[in-house]
Amino acid sequence: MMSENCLVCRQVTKSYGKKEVLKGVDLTIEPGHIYGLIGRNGVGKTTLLSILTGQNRAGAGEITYNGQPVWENETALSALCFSRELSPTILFGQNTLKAKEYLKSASCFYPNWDAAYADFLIKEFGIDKNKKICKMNKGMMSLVTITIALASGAPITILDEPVAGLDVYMRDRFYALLLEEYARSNRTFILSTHIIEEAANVLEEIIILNDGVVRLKENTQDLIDSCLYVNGLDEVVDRAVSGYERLNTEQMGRNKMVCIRLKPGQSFPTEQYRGELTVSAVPLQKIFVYLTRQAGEENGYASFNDHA
Amino acid sequence: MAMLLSMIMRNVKNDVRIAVKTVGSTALVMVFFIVYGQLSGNPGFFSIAWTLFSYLVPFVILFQFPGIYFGIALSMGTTRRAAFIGLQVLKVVVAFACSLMVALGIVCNNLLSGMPAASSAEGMFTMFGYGLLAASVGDFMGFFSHHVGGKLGMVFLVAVCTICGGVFGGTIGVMGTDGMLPIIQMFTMPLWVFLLAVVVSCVLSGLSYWLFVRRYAVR
Repeated sequence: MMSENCLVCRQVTKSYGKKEVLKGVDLTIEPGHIYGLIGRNGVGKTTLLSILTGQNRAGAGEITYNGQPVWENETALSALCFSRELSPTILFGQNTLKAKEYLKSASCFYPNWDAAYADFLIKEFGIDKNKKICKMNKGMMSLVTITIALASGAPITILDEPVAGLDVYMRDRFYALLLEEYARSNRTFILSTHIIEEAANVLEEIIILNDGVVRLKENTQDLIDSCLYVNGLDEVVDRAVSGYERLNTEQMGRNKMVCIRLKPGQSFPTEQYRGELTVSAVPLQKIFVYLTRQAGEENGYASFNDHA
Repeated sequence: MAMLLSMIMRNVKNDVRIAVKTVGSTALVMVFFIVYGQLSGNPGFFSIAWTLFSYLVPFVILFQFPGIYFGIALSMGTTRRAAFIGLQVLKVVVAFACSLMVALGIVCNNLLSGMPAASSAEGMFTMFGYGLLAASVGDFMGFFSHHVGGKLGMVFLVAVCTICGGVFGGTIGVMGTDGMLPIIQMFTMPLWVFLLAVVVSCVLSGLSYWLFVRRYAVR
């Protein structure tokens, strides 16, 4: 039975001209989780997120929140926050709006806006409220976006590449603040990110968007646990991995490394091959790369030498 | 319905905040051109033209600001219809404020010249109608220039303001300092024609604005 306050997306499509970006996306966002939406550049992550929050219209399909359509629905939209990347240009040229104007607008529109928390974040991030957006670097713009998202108090809060341009310290600070806010409020967060390894510790569920559809939606730890590198002599590896789904194969001489994915209930007999094979975990980033390969990329990246 | 009203009020609150912010800067522009026009002696074509231009530009600037801020409002969870209705409410509020300013100006002028203080209800009403007209043209032009986009949109906007200012101002320049009265009388005689024009222009500009807005996609 579906929980209340779910954001549900059914068979959503979207095209820009002749290019079909979303080809029938089905997705359910349940309350009280931190989701990571990952996908290659241009796959339609921002498009999907803007459709989920009524900022863009779907070509077909439906989006509902708590059973009600999201499009032009004040009740549904009051529960959603999509804090998107700020732009240094707007309308007629440079974006000369100041950070404080965005924050004031946010305080007008978000019914659960937490002004005290916003002030805390502004101090924490060192944001100069009187600085014009066009004068900010990418990192500072990201921090303004993060402040709006975290202080919005929206039950479902979406951040589109929030750590773009942030240094390592600020990225770490952001993840800590996100977890703190999540523990405090149990809000639902959806992060669209390319920096997968860092975010892996924060994300409860991974959603991979590929080829216009949701390729995978799974618990992060379960996904990591289900993938293994099996490394050793090629004939031993081939014998050991037969019957398992292969995500990737690399061979150098007689040494072969295969990435396998275990089905639910399946396991790999590591003890049986002790001394012959090395079995290790696969980083989430690598799992993403293997799962989102395009046709023709199965044998790895193209090399300039192949064209010479 | 309650949520729609609540969201409309949030839009009005945000738009009024933006409008008040621009009033100070646009008022300075108006004062500069009015003073320049008066100090330049017998008003000729260009001084009056610029004076009238200064009256027109604030309306247009005022009402394209919500157009600029429209995308921001949408990205913060408002619906298009609430943003649209909020802007129409703002137009009425600003037009009403302009008519009050006219009344205040007339009263001050009469007091300073020793005449019995009097307000011109007809002048106020005319100014209210003129304010709505200018605002309707303003928001249509603002959004149209947004639709055209970029520097070309800005050039279009400035060109229209300059031409309108020049036409009005030039007319006043030919007719002399009391040239404002015939212009106002054009709008007030007969009153029902003026009112009809106001209503029709508000409806048409609102409708065309809504046609732009209803499927607007935030990028």
